[in-house]
Amino acid sequence: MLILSIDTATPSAGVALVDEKGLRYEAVANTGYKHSRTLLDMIDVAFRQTDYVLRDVDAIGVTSGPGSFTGLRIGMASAKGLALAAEKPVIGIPTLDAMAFHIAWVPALICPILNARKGEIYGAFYQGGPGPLKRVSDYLALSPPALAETARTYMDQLDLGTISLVGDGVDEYRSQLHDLLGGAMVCPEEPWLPRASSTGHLAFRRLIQGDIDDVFSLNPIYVRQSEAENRLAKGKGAR
Amino acid sequence: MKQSGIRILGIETSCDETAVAVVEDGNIIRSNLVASQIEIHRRFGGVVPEVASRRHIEVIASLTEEALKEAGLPRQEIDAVAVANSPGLIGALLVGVSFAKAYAYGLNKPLIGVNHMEAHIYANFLTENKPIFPAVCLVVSGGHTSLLYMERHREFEMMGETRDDAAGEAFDKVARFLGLGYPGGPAVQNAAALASPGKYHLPRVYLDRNDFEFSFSGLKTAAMNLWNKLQRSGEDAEVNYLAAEFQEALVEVLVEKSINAARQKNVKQILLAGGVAANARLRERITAEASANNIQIHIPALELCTDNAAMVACAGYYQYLDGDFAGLDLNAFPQSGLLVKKACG
Ligand SMILES: [Zn+2]
Repeated sequence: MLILSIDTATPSAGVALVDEKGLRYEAVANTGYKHSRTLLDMIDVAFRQTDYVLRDVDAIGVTSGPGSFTGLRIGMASAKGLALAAEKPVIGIPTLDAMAFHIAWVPALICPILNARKGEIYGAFYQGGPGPLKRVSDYLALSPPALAETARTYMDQLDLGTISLVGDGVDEYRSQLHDLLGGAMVCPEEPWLPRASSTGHLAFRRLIQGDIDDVFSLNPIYVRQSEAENRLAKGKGAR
Repeated sequence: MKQSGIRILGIETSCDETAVAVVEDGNIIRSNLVASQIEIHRRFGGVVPEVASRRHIEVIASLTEEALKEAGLPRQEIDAVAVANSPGLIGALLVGVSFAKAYAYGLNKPLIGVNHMEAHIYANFLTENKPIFPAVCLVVSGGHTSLLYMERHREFEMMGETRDDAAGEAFDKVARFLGLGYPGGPAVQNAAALASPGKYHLPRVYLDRNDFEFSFSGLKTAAMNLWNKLQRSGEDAEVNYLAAEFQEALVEVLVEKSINAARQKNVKQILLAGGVAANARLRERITAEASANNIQIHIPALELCTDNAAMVACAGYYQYLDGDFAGLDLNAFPQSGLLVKKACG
């Protein structure tokens, strides 16, 4: 069973091949938003540098959001195109799930955070190791104080003394979050953007359960509605 | 490379229509599906790029499958995938481009990047009665107003274009200002159909009568100023008559410059292209004037004037014949330098 996974949710683009033995191939280009130009070439290189061909792939995994709206759609449209043309199933893996997977063994409240701009971060809460990683919240877009408050609630509820943060949101809001969460907060040095390999591992787990997505109805998880919808909802007029 | 039975899958997502089509040999439309977003954008009073992009990704996969099914073709029998990759809304274009690239790669078929405006012109070739070169082409849409000279396929010499608003843009702005609704082109046309030009007077802006440059910003402002003045004066301002005069003023200039361009180039064929080519008054007047001048006029069927993928597949077909294929790095671009290919090298 072989997964081809692609990730274009953030400025970092990635492609990976994952099978039952684990990660077989991964390439990451953390060089900003050039995904539309580079992604398919990266996929082609992945096949050329391994002994695999597209026919060998059993499912296509794609990071499904949240993240850059355009980036998510580039990945999702590419996954759908490949899946339809090569008659492969597609499996969407939420970005924050893939990020939490990086530190799934940490016995803490795990909170991957992505810089969502406009003073907010995308985040979700997970109960970390030793058991299997378990998501306990929705995917959210929150201000740092709101995130800290929600974190406190889950820490009390789950009786966890520490919270471990990963993601590029840490870079931007490190000192503010530290003030809010104090000694409870721990973060790896590396910001840990989402990786195609994590998406691939999680997609592999779903594939062996027979848990695949419908290629027609799979959509990015935006978390936020468009600005125009926001303005309309606030009665300000869309334009 | 085979010379007939060439089937191109066309994909179009440059603005607010998701469209997929299968065209054989450049003029046999095997299927031509359009998922319009007009209703979605109506409540915003115009196309919202992010909303359009979200809709494209929702429907692109199923629309592609339906288009192949309607064409009665297994996907392996497609010879190439053509996609509009400029100009347009960048986020919207990227959905079609990303999908098309992966689809072509997955099928192991060639990929063709098509210019959306060039595709509008090629809508004129989706017929038995194809235009003959040399020809003059009037391209009128929400983003373009240009007169082009074509001596052969895929070569365009710019004769003149708008210096400010495109014709479709002027329709949209005036429609919004007059409260006629959205989209602007059909809204103005419908209002104008209930009245006639001449009750009010608006200027015909020719700039230099001997060149082929356009300007519609002044006409638009004149229409708005006149409307304000009428409303202040307490006379009963009749919006339908103003719409009719505005449409007439715009159409008259488009038609006269097109005929002059054909005369200057001494060609006997005029092609009309772009969304504004769906305007009934423009179709009527340019047909009459062309016939009075012994010029043959080509106008695509109504459903081929507005954005569609059959035109993309058709333009793609002529690129296929030239072996003009795209690489895996094909990207999308909001603006394009096309339509000046020859003039600017
Ligand atoms: Zn168009």
